[in-house]
This record gives sequence, C-alpha cells and structure tokens, in this order.
Amino acid sequence: MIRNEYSYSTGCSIVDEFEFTIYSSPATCSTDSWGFVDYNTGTATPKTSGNWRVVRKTPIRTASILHEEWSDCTSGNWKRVVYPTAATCQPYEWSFGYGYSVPKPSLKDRFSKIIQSRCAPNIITSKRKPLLISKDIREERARETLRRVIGEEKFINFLKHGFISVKAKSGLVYQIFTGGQFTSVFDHGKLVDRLCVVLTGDFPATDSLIMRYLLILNNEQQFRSLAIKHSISIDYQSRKSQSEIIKPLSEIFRELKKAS
Amino acid sequence: MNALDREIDVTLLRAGNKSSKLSKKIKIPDSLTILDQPNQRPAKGFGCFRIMTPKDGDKRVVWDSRDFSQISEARDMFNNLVAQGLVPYCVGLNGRNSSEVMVEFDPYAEEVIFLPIAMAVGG
Repeated sequence: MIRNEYSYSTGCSIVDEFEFTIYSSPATCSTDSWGFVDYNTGTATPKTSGNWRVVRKTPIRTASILHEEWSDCTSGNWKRVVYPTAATCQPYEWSFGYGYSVPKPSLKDRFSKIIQSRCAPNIITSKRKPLLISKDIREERARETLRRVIGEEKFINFLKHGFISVKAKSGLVYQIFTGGQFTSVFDHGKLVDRLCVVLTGDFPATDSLIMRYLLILNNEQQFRSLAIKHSISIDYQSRKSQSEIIKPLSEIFRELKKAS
Repeated sequence: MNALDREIDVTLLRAGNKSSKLSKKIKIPDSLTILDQPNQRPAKGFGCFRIMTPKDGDKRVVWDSRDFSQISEARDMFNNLVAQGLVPYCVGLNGRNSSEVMVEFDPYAEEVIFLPIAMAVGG
C-alpha cells in the first residue's frame, strides 16, 4: 500500500510531509529503512522503521507525469534508463519513494481460507435482474393488462424475475420472457425446446409476452407452428461453463507449496 | 380527451401486409369510456376491450353491461375489429389461466383482449 503519490517534475519536490528526490545514480537502500537523498549534495538522511520497505516507481518519462507504478526493490534490481529529448539526453533518473508492505499470508492461512470457503453454504443468487419501472406509458398499460390476467402473486414474480410460466394443455411448461427473448419449453423440468415468436411492429415488450401467453393457453399448436425452434445445446453449454471447476484440496496444497 | 384519442389505428392485417404502415382508423363510440391511465381499472359490471396496437400499446375501452345502448355499440366495435383481422380472446382474470377465442360478442365478458395475431412471426 503506497501512502503518498509522487507527482512531479525533474528535481526535488515536497509531497505532503515527505520528500522525494531524483537521483542520478542508484541509491543504496535497505529493506528496513527509507530516507531521502538530496540530489545536489548527495547527503542521505536515513530513517528506520521495521515495516517500511523501499520501493521504486517507474522512471519519469516526461517532466510532469504522475508516477503510477511502484515496485518493491529490496532485491536491488534497479534499472537505468535514458529518455532522449529532441535536443539532448535526459540524465539517468531514479525516483525513490516508500511504501508499507502488507505481510503475505502464510501457506497455512491461505489454505485454511480455501477450506473455509468450501465449507460455507453455497448461496445461489439469481442472476436475473428485476424489471424496472418503465417510462413508456404503453408498457405500463401492457403490464397492467398482464397483472389483471395472471393475478397479483404471479405478477410480483414476473416483476422480480422477468418471466412468467404457463402450463399448456399438453402438460409442457412454457417459460415466457418479455420482448423478443426465447420461450423455453420444459417437460418434467427438463428443457426440451427454445422457441421464438415475436410481434412485428413497435409493440411494448410486455404485449409480446401477453400474445405468447394467450396463444399457448388457447392454441399451443398454432404457437408452435409460428415459432422458430432454436438449439438448446448452447444454453446447456453456457450453464456448464458457469459452474466452477473445483480442484481437489491436495492439488491446491501442492500448488501453494510450490509457489511459496 | 381530444378527438384523435377516440380513434384506434389498426394496421391493415391482410396477407402480405404484415410490415405495412397502412392502417385504418376505427372510431370509438362516444358512449364507451376509454381508460387512459395505466392504473385505471374497469368498475364492477363493466366489460373491457383491450386492443393491442403499436401506437397505444394497449387501448382500453369499457362498456356498461347493464346499458343496452352501450352493449350495442360495443358489439359493433367488436365486429369491426374482428373484420380488421384482430382476434378476440376472452381471458380469465386473476390467474384463472384461461383464454378462448370469442366467436361472437359476449356482453358479460369481463375482459377481451384483441390480438393482432397476423403480426406474430417466428424470430
């Protein structure tokens, strides 16, 4: 976590209560101390603090760019860069700053966190968003019609989930969405078809739903004859990819140990 | 409500005319009431036509099922809409899950939805 951003142009600058200096050569640094060195005189004023580490920002590219990347330079892996300008070469520039490093969690802590997440109950939240109030008065009228037709309870579910379910005379259950979305057909809970029937013209989305609802209830064959069938395999694939691939704990432990 | 609102723009639903912009205006008789606001509901004893059109979404016209003149005008309007290709569905209310095509006007039907079935296509 970096406390203060360093923002500045060539030379010395004061940012809050800390000073940063540009060096023309690599400065010595210690993992447990930070400080600043005056560019002109080269005198150093070390300060020590157990939690502080010296970090390095990417070198300045232009006179006034904000430094944005910091990297831990305890390994001493400094780089020298030169940025030529039109007329002359800029001197080597280093920036020097400080930061507070958060200690890495131990292997034991990380592993126990993974185990905890697997023990927690799997709460499945619906990915469907509730329907918002429409600014279109036609859509509001259509929803009012739907409310009258399907009843209050089903209408509330419709607003929450965005679809209605209707059981046709054949026993198949149709899951009908608004607008031009596919109608899913279920047979004893198993998806068997995805059909698409729309109303041409600028009808509100709920009117399309009402049309499908009435057709299915009254004449299922007519609905199916109008509809274009779409593949259900795409739907199954997308559902499968959504589920996480769960690795065995022993494999995770081996990977963590290797990484640490 | 101005005179224009008492007209329903019914797209001519003849074969080969599905995406056409040609429409016919059907006048709503003066004795029948139009429910304009979404939250307005027909009163008890009133029947309701809900005519689906692209322009209005859902035009709601109510008639008093105890008034013979209103019943007569509602019947004329019903026949007019059917002649233009709209299909009337008598629906059960409050989740009764019933819907049937009306072959003739029923003055005691609570809710009749006119669907432009000819504009329904596979997508």
